Amino acid sequence: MPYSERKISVRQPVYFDNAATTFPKPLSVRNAVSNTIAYAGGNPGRGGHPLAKRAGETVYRARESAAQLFGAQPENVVLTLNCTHALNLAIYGLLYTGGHAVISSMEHNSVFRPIAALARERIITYSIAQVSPDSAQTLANFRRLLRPNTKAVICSLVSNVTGQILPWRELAAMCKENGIAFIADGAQGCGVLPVSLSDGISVLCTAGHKGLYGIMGSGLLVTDGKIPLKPLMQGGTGSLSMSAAQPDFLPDALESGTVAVPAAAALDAGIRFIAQRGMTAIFRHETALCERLIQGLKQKPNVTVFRDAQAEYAPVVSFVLDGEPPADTAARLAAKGFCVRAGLHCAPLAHNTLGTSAEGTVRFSPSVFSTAAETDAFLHAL
Amino acid sequence: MKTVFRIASETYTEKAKRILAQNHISYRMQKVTGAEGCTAKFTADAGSERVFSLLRSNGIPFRSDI
Repeated sequence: MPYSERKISVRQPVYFDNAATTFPKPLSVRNAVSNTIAYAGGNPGRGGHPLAKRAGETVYRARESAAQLFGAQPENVVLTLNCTHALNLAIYGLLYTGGHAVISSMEHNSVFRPIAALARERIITYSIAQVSPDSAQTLANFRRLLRPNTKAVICSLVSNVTGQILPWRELAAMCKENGIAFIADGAQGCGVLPVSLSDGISVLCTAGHKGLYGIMGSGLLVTDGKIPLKPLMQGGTGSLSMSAAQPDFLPDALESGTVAVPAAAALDAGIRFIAQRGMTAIFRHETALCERLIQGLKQKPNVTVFRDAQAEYAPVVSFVLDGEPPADTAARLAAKGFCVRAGLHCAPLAHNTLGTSAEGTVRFSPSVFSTAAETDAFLHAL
Repeated sequence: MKTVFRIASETYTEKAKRILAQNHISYRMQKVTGAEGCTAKFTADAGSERVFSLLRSNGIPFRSDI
């Protein structure tokens, strides 16, 4: 197998941890950040001067790009710090009055922890639906847990551990027929899968810095505007300042304080980059690299790859070398210049489901910039 | 004929700017402070019926200065 001609080392590493955050970023994203800092450094919505206006236009362009990508109105795109922030906004904002929620057995702690916290405070009850490689079985498992007081289903589009694509459209339809809100965690799916509010999603939460190729410190909450969400934070919005009450219209209701304008600019540039490259092309490229890895792993003895022929997957692969703790595998790879994440990936529920709670897994997640040669070199390094 | 209106939200201000531009309506926008706080005051070069119809059909909340 031909390897990368570039010398791979700790000083010049190869990055396969894009499920954590994408690296590198497109040049257009890097330029957007530096140009914003250099030329649009005002605070949007806080003044009428040229730099405030430029910042306001920059932020609105990000909302427009996100709205176009996800089938929403720009004013219903809320800029957050990250996906976790967006999910907390959605979960607390909807469930603070009580009720029952259903989550999946593959959820990240950004869903599980706020839900568990609300339950500990006896504000809500919740159930965990077992995810099966068989989507119809997964759907049935969710349906069985619905109660008359179920207010929301909160579910990842894609598992951040195995890459399994959950049947979100079918779950959204089930929620709609039962008058239940569907809150989607799109952290791993957005940017590689065609996710839209028209799929029936009530609130879509996602990271700006993963598949959307923005920078860290950005996330999105995208909604159809039909479900009011109680704000987590109240403060200055640059609107209706004489009122002691938080504005009740989006996005101001859920955005207090200064918006991260460079992050918004990066998000806009990242979404345009995806559109230019083509989401389908990106998905195919990354999936091909995952397939290449899996084929290579199958040729090695004593490797467990967490994939099932029945399920559909986004480009994330978890595996374990039998007899070596995943943390040791990752450390050994890191010493050779390969960046992967090992452990529980902030998703203990998922590892309970997989039976890997003791030590977790090694996770391989390529990006549009990853190459076949780098994948081959990774396999050789294993 | 000029139409004057105010928008409280930065996001809707940007949306209004685009809608007016798309419909070839020139305007002047100024940040002002009034009884309700800071707003964007638009002076659009078109009749109120046309301007307000555009704002309403695009879901932009505004306050007329008439």
